[in-house]
Amino acid sequence: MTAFQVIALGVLGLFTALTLAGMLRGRRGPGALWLLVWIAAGVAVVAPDATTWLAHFLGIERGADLVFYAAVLGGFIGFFFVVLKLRRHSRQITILTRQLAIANARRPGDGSAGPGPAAPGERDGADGAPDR
Amino acid sequence: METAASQGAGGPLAGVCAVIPAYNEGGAIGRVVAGLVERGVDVVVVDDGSPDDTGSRALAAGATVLRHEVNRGQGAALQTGMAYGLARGAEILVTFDADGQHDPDDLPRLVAPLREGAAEIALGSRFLGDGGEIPAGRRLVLRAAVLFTRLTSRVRVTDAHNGLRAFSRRAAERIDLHLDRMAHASEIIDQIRRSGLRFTEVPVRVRYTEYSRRKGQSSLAAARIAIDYLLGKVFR
Repeated sequence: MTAFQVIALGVLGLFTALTLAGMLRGRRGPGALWLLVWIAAGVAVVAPDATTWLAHFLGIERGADLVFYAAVLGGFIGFFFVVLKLRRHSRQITILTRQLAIANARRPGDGSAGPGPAAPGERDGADGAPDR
Repeated sequence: METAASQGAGGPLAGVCAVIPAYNEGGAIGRVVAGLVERGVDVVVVDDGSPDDTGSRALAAGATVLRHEVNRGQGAALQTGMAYGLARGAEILVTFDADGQHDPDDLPRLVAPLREGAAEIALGSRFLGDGGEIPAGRRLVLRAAVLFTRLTSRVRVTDAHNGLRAFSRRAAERIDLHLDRMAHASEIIDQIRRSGLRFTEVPVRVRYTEYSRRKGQSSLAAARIAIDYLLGKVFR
């Protein structure tokens, strides 16, 4: 076994253990999918010829190309889900902000002092860029 | 909704609630609010996390102030103000800019179609009649926005990004903005089409002062707004 294989298997083993531990603790999420990813990566590290066989089966010339394509595709899909999650969180922040604003409405002459403007640096928007 | 005008007066602006989203408008908000309050309009200013004294100046001028503790964007602030106005029983909600670009004298003409039952939404247009002096660069960007709106929303408007609008109560209840930032203007047009609400355009004036030009969106920001709108259609 080469030095790279030892290191890679060690890292993959660690992530597999962490994923399994999370799943056993009842953590929700795509744990099974990540297990599949770590195992597939482990197989590719231990038996690189397996990727060549799979590549040929899929009509791709080289195993390395298959790994690259899979990584890029997986990256885009993962990015898509991250963007979805970010937008969902942003929406939730807006809803909470709205509810707070309405609950703490200040009317002229009702005597409520209300909170003043915060100190500098505490007023960035969700994306760090204030907007109108 | 109890206002100076609506209490027994029944003027043309009785029952009208003006929603003003504001960010860092301490320099103009007092004047803007006062101009509306003296016409008997109930004013709601949504302070969108301003670091300056926008909120306190608006309150002092006679507005009800809602404050976003975190800056969320003009679209989010508008929706907050409209939700509040509806909860308070407003019959007509008007959106109004905080930078002094809009003329409160345009309000009676703006709400007239809603009072007459001719439409449920009145959109202000600076391109109908004498809309005031529009800087050439800005005119070009606004025309492009109109074309963009006609292609994406398939709604024929002459001014797609005018912040002066009037909604009947029924129409305001059907509007639910999800785009928090400047793309909300296109989202409003979209929702008008999808909901089948009757709308009309009304000529209004837009004043371009040194202050408002400094505070306004750059022409380059128009591209970002278009992208934000299109992404909103994909990821909603």
